[in-house]
Amino acid sequence: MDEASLIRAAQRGDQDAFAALVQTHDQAVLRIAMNLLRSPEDARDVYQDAFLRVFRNLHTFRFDCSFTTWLYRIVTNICLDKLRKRKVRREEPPVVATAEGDFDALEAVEEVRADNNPQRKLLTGELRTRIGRALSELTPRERLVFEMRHYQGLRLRAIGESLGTTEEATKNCLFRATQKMRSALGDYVQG
Amino acid sequence: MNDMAMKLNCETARELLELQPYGELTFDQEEAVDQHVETCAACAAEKRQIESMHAMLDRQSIEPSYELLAQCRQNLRRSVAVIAGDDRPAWRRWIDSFTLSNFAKPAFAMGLLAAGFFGARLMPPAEPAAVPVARNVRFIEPGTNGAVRIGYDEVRQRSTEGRIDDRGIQDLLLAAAANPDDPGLRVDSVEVLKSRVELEDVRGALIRALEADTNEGVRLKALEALKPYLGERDVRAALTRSLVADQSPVIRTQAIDLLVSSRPAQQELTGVLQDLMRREQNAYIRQKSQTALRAMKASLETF
Repeated sequence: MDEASLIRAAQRGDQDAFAALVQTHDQAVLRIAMNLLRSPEDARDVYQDAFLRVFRNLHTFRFDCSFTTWLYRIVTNICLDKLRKRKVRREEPPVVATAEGDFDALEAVEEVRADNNPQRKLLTGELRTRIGRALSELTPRERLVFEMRHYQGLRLRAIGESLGTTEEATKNCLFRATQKMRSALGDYVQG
Repeated sequence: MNDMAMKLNCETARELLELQPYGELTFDQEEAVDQHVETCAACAAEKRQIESMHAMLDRQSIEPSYELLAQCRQNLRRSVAVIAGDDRPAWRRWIDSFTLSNFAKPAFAMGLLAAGFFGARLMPPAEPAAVPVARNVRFIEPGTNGAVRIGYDEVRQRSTEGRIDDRGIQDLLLAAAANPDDPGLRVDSVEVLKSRVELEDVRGALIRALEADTNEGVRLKALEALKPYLGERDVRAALTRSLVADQSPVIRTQAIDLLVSSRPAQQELTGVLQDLMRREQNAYIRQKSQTALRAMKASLETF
């Protein structure tokens, strides 16, 4: 069954169709949330909140845009809310200072590339801490645009549509974000 | 960045260098940046720095674990079941509360069957089904002895199956593509029809959808279906009209991308592109028009 048929079946209350629709998109949604919020608990909340909103509001979806755009609009709104709340609370979620030095909460998360070289592992840990800090310096919007373009590979136009803004504004946002990242990473970046 | 000269200064080059790794530059912009970097040591160092940062960030992408995904799916399933349960009407909740174990279900079904079989023999013959109120009544003729004759329209839902080459199926799809009340139905029918764009009727329906459908999603679907038929004059003409008149920048952007990539279309486009240079709001479309006009060695404006 193609996506339009799944949506229509789910709109009629077919829960299997809704489950199939979720499974088509949920890995991407979880990846966005995980990379953006760098916390498995927050990513889990975003996943749950986003798909429950989809479930409750699917009857209002009128095929005016692609389902992905509609879904990402919901996901980005939830993520932006969370990032803004963090800024207000001045949380630094991924990097926690301990007696032994900085501890990266993401060490608890499965690594994409397991590395057995201890020295390289240490360097990777430091770098990740630094990147986590650099990301937390970005504004919520800059961070969202940066993550969606860099890690999710979404086109600027698609990101703009999800955020309800223009491609040009999204481009400017990405430009500011990459410049801030480069400045924050400083000596790690080789010229 | 819109009015791109082939020679760049360092400031513009650096703006473009930030976007280059994302593949967001036009061919001309990329060409101009590469040329600039070859002759400017400072910008070349800047480029190496950007590439180094991207390589570093790429290594830090987090892939959520399968366990986390499985946990999220399980939680969602539970929540959806609760919400769906709450949304049931009271009578349904009451009936559903008499849940049967899988074991008891066949016995219960046999019981119902037996009750139906014997019940049918004991009860008087059933009356014809009542006429639904919602039907559209056309005339009423009062008769004698309290009888009345009523004429009404009746719409019945039926389903049919067949291949898209069958004329009857095609007619139904073409009618669905023009259904004014249901954009979802129009998207579905365009999706099916796109495999037969070589048929004149189908192409005509898709062109009408591209130009006149009120829903952007349907127009986009129709445009995608027509892509392989840029060699046809009627398709090029429809795309040109969309480029000029469509309200959606997404459709206009796709239309210009397609038209400037087609040699026969380019020859027909000069006037349209010059007009777009003057009044188009979208920077990408203006840029694309400019590049195409330059490639055609045509003037950028009308005199």
